[in-house]
Amino acid sequence: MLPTLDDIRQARDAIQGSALRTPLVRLNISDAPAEIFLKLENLQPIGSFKIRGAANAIAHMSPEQLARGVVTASAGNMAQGAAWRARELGIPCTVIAPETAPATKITAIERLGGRVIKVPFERWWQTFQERSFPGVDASFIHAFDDPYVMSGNGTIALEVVDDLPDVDAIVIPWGGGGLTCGIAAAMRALKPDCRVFAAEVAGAAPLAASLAAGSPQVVDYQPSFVDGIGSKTVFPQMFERARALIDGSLVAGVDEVAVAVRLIAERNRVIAEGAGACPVACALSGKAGGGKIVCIVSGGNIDLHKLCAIFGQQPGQQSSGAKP
Amino acid sequence: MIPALTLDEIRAARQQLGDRIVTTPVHEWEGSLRAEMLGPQTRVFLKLELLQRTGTFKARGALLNMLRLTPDELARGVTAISAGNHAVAVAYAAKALGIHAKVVMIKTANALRVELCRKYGAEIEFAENAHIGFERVKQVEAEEGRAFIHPFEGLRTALGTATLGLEFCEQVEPLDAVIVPIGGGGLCAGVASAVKLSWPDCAVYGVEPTGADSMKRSLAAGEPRSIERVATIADSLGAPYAAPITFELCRRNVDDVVLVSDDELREAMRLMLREIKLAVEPAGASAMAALVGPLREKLRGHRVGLIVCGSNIDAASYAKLIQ
Repeated sequence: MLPTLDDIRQARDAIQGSALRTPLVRLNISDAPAEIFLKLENLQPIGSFKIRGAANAIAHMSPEQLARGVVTASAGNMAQGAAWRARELGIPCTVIAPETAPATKITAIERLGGRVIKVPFERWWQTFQERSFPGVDASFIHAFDDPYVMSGNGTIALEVVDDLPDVDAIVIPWGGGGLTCGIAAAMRALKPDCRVFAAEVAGAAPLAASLAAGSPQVVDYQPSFVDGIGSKTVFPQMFERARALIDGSLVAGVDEVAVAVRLIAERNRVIAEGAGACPVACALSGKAGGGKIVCIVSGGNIDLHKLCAIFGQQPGQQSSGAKP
Repeated sequence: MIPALTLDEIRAARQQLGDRIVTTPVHEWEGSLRAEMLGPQTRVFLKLELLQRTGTFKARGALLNMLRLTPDELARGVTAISAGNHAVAVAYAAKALGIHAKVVMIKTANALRVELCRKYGAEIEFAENAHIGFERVKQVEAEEGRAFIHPFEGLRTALGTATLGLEFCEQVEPLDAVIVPIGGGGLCAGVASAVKLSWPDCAVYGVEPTGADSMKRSLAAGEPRSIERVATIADSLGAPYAAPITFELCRRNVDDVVLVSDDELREAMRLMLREIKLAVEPAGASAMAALVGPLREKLRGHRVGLIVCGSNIDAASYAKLIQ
């Protein structure tokens, strides 16, 4: 089920006070194929858009559900969103994380008072399907396949259209698909002729492959520094939603994403993590077409040493993303 | 007698700048470290002037100066001397008004700033150091009849930066304190004036690097002073002297000037990266450095405003500073 415009407007009211209304700024370059704008979700208190979905999901829980506390499965950003809101409400938050999750993200969750349970990647993935974890009696927040989470994410679209009514295209990082579907659902209702694209990174782009094949596909997954998005497959229900809503999935190279991270820092003085810079890399390549393009800079949570490795190199020299 | 700025003048200046200047957003620092470092009651509002066109507040003063030139002066073009940010601002303002700019940049100016100047179409000359640069720009002014746009001194410059201060005061509920970076003091002169006009009870703190403390020394002496040597990683705050108008406006409106070390600047840069996702040069982190450093206990539990004055730094230099 997709959120309606009413759901999304209600979400906007529900998350006010928890999530910020983030600025929309122009990417300060003159030689791009389009007029590129950045929706700075990296400026949210936890450094990512996930606070919107988490806050909306929690806002719709009953007192009994809240009393049990919350549990989520996440490699980092959703966990921080849930832990942030749980801490504000004084309820416990448990996070099921993959063993591969970056240390800084785990530390950040723990600093917010979240309890982290690390599990092998396959076990972690299974949690998304089962929507619970053995031994943890708490209300599950699904990181993407949840109507309230998608409605919360969709509030971004309301702000974009308020700030830039003549937007021609929106490019959205595709992780689990909750951000893409939330925003796309709102855009289809608000401005049906606006092009909506997902953005993926090469080596971890199952949506593009699935759209091409017409059914969910499994790809040969190559990890890179772009750790906030990308996996080996798509959730069938998210794929079906996306297929009906979006104009396609654009794929940027890992090197192109690194160049975009640099460019955003130099020209707009903000830090985007790989996932957040991926839409910008796509827009810069011309794949999203011309006109006024809004790129959703979904987050800015990147390890200092990875960032410095990218910054220390000249554009184009970023070899394998796994190296920094 | 140096006149005080008035709210009417500042509003008129803002109107004159029009949409060549953007109203930069205010952002509240809500990250988890804020409560740990400053206590849960402390609220911190950042005026994100680094999102200004050109990446620096200097666009306001440069543009206002040029808008108030006569047609004759405009036709002869402008000149400026700068370690970078002011040059970028002058280049932008000249382009916006369709006039010619010749800027003298210190040889060590950050590569990104030089590139931005070029993109805005300015003619660039390089000088070995600030001293030689100032000589050269005086020569250009005299020989070519160009209007010299000072990097920090003058009432128009202060009026330009006052538009930033007034904007901030209109964007947030009254604050208890505002912290403003000081290089030459042009930013602080205008912002402090606007803040005191809007909120007479709000404290205004200036912040300088320990290695470039010309304003603190001048205020202590009661008159503008020079310093012999500038030594700081904050290249945008490295003015070697305080000038009369700027000094006087700061003297009247600034409650105190605090100093931060290079290490404190680096730590504040890392904090702003981690907590607020801003990639700022040292000057842009100086107000934060003052808040979590020398002003931490004094401002605990208060509503504090920080001016994030700007940032133009290439990624490699930035990485070196925060590593």
